[in-house]
Amino acid sequence: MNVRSFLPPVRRSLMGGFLSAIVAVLIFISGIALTAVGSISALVENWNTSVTGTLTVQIIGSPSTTVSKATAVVAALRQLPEVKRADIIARERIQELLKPWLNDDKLIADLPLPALLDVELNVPSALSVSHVTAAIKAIAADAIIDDHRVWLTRIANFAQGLRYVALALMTLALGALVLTVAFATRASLTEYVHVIEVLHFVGARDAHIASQFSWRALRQTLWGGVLGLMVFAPALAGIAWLARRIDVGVLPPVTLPLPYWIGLGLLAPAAALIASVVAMLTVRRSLSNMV
Amino acid sequence: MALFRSKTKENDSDPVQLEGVALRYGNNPDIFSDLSLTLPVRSLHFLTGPSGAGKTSLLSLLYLANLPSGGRLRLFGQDVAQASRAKRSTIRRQLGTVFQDFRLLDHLSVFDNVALPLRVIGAPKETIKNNVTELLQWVGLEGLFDALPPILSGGQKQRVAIARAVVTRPKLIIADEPTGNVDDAIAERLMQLFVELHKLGACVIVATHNERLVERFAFPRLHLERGTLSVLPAISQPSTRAV
Repeated sequence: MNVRSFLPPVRRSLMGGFLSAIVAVLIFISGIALTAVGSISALVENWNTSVTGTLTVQIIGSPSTTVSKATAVVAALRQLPEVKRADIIARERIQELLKPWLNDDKLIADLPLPALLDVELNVPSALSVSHVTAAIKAIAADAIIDDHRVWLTRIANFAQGLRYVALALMTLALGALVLTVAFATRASLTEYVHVIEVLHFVGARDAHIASQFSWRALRQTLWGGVLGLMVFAPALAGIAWLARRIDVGVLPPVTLPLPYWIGLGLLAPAAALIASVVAMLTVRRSLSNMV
Repeated sequence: MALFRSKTKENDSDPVQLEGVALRYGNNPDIFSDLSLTLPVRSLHFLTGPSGAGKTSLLSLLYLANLPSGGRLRLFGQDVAQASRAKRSTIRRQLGTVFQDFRLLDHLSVFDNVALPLRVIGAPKETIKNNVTELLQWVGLEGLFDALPPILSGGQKQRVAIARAVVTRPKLIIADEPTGNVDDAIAERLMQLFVELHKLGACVIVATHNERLVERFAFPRLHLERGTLSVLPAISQPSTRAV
């Protein structure tokens, strides 16, 4: 197919760079949304792998009994096949964790602290948790076992909600792209109706005429996409810098997974492809009204 | 001239066949309702008639801008109402149309406007260059190859439009007032181009109000008036009377 353009240059068009500018904005929004989806997914995955496989056990009582019970529980847990690791958290470490909240060394030293055990499971399943819980309760009936599921589930639900919002944003951006291309193509059809008629009367096939608009939409969208990504890149770097400044205790470090990087790279070509197809279909439908 | 080399095959279908053809726009009254006519290859006819008689409407059927609202129109043996869109494109490639309002593309140079039909059919670059150059010289537009239509005079635009219409050596040439904006000398030269193409086998229809041209080039006339199409003989013999 001959794709030599018979249309006037874009700069002379009434629409000018309108399509590229709109696409740049949409690609920027899509980039932010895609990064949000990827980061939240990675965050939830990070929490799942680092927290669901662990238990925190508190043994409350007088310092003499808690230490002996804790030692006995650790010894018993280390015999279980479900347990990968079981350790007593040193009293100094607990005091250190409390320091930012109480900021009073003397008060912390006088506090009746429970014995804390950090347990890591081989397989983080409900069955493993139930076996381990039974083994702990057999030695220390009043032990409090926290498997982090309650708060993790709430955070995961919240994260999932954010993910859906980001996905909805991407879908809206995609819908806006399709509508914008259809609108821009129809505007071009009106503007260039005399060109289309001449091409039609000299025997150009519908596919040939449609390809003129399709290629133009592809080029303009690709350019808009690249422009959008050029604005998005520093924005992403800024967000990453802000995220790194957050205390690691509050937010674990998150790396955007590779598929999302690929997705970001494909945003502009995918938008261009969609624009090309939408333009092609719009023109062909319009041409079908001509004899 | 390369344009005038090969000839149309003698056994081609009649380029134009109208059988009881009617045309109306929307719910308006018929412009004409029962036109029948056959135009063979190697023929040249003037289309005459008063303004508003429907000459341009009749031509619009022939260059496939409209379909008949009644009757049957065959171009090169194909019923155009029954033909697929692809088939109609193929038929259009055998047509050369000179529009009354020229319909040149203002963003393309004179050369590119004339080359357009050849590029659409995918002709080789060398053929395009040779044919367009020769044709533009023939119509007296050498030196204006790179000019854009807005700077051309009416007569120059008309010559570009004619060159574009005939550059593919079409089998059917439809010209709506092709000499309306040029002086008599140029008009005769342009008519001579149509005469040469008709001698090579093309079927040519020239709609005109120019009575002197009709008298000078003695070809039969299709006279359209009050919805009736009559075939009238040539006014005089070719080249016997001065314009």
